[in-house]
Amino acid sequence: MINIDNALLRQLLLIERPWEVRQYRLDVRKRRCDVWIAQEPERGWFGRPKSAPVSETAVWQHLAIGQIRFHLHVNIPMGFDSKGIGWMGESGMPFTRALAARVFALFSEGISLQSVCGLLDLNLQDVWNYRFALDTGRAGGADFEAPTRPAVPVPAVSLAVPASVASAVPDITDPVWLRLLGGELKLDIKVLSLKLMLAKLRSQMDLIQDEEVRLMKLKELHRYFVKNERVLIHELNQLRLG
Amino acid sequence: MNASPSSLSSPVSGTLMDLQEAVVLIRRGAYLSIAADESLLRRLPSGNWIAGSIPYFMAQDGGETSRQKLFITELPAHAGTPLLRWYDNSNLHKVALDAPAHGLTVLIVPAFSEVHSRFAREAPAFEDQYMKPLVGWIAGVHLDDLGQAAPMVVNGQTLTFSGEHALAVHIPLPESIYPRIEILNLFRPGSGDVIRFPSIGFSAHECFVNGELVNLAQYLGQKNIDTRLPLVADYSGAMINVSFKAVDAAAGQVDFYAPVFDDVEYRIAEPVPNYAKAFAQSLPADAVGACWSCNCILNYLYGELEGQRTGPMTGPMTFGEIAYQLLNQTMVYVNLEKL
Repeated sequence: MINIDNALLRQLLLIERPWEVRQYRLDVRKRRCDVWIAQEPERGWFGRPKSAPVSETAVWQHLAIGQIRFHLHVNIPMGFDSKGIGWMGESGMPFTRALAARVFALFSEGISLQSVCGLLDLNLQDVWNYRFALDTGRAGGADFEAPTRPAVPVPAVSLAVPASVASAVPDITDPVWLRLLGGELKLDIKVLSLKLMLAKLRSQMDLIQDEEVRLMKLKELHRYFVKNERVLIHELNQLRLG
Repeated sequence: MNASPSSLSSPVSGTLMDLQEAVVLIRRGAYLSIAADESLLRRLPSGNWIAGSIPYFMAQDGGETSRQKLFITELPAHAGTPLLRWYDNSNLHKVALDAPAHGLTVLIVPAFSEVHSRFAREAPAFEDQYMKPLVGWIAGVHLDDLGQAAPMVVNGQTLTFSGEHALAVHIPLPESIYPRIEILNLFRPGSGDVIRFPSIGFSAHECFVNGELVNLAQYLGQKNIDTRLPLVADYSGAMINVSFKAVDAAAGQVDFYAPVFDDVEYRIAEPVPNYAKAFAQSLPADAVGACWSCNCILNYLYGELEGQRTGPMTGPMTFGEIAYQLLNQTMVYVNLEKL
């Protein structure tokens, strides 16, 4: 017999057959809905279900619907390739691909970790884990849906020059950033924080293969220069010479 | 920034003084950074101060070990009220995010605590960690008390002591002032073997020496390496040390005062013949105006700095130094530059 709630949830979550919602538990007070998902059992002669394949359960947080956060408990047969399925995630990651893509898009715009948590109503530790996975090359940025907006650096704050003064920081699209991150361009650096940050970013770039995540690292470096422009005159003079 | 405003000759990065002088400064209401033995810190009145326990100092008259004196640096409070905030493992990664857009953060972390371990391992990955100026030090104890007393960090506003939490003072500064953080590391990578580690940690068994997997403790013994010399890595021109804590040849384990990282090449440092002279000679001229400084207890011990000066710089001799991330055997100082 079809459970109407389960069928509706399957459609709301864009889950396609042979996957089905087995059960759910909604806690309105906590604004949380846990949903258990598995493949429909294969049926043999006379409609008798075949024995279930060996499987494991993964749990990912998915996109919220309204004020309700969704946590999907997915029973995945061993060896199943989930690539491209937005309501599933990578092994060991806290979010489904759809939610991870949303978080990544915000990171790419230079939104802070805390703000991402606030905007998407996410747990800070989960967002931190995802960010750490990006930084260490264990997660990609646009596995599900690529951000379509062009790269936009975060508005300059703090030590950036006033808006009325032309910025000496090369545009984010300037190839000089990639050369700097890749180590091809060597600078004589006087500012300690830039030395340490550049060393960190270069070692991360060695691990990160995903182009979207590499672009995010590039934006991070650009944002540093924009923020600290007034104390990076020596370094910016060299950057301009390329 | 001078802790003893009446004396123009006092070093600007702080002064070693007795309890009475410290109480007078606290009662004036200034924001202070204090280093002293825990017993002395417990005798201070409440006020705008943060402190860490340590009885080793580079004082105005030279290196000194004292349980009867306090080292005090007055913090700048020109552009708003500094904010004191505790951190544990659950919120430590927010330390830079909590810092003011323009300002300086001074962080004191108790040695051997979980928060010390997390900061050492993960600070480079914290969000905005290199975006905002952050210095600090690791609180310790008298070496005679190791294993008996716990390093302490103190919030002077509430007279709260903690051996498990780090304490930061976030200091807003005018936009026209930039706190430039500098380090002075006497050590340079030697010309010897390249050493890499397979994982991050405060201890190691195996490492790769010129690409070959070896046991580090055995390697150090076979090469007769002086473990008072740190491992040195080049971070885009900044020389960053990891100091040896203990070598257990029987267990084949080497412990460090800071974690080794798996993405960095290390070399054993070149020897430094005279620490005091080297510090004085290596300091750039503008370091004289430094408003805050600390140095490492290992430099104090190995360099036999008691009674000796390190140029004009004063400060606590600590169990670890912080300039954005944890450092070893390094002097850290801050200059307030006018932009």
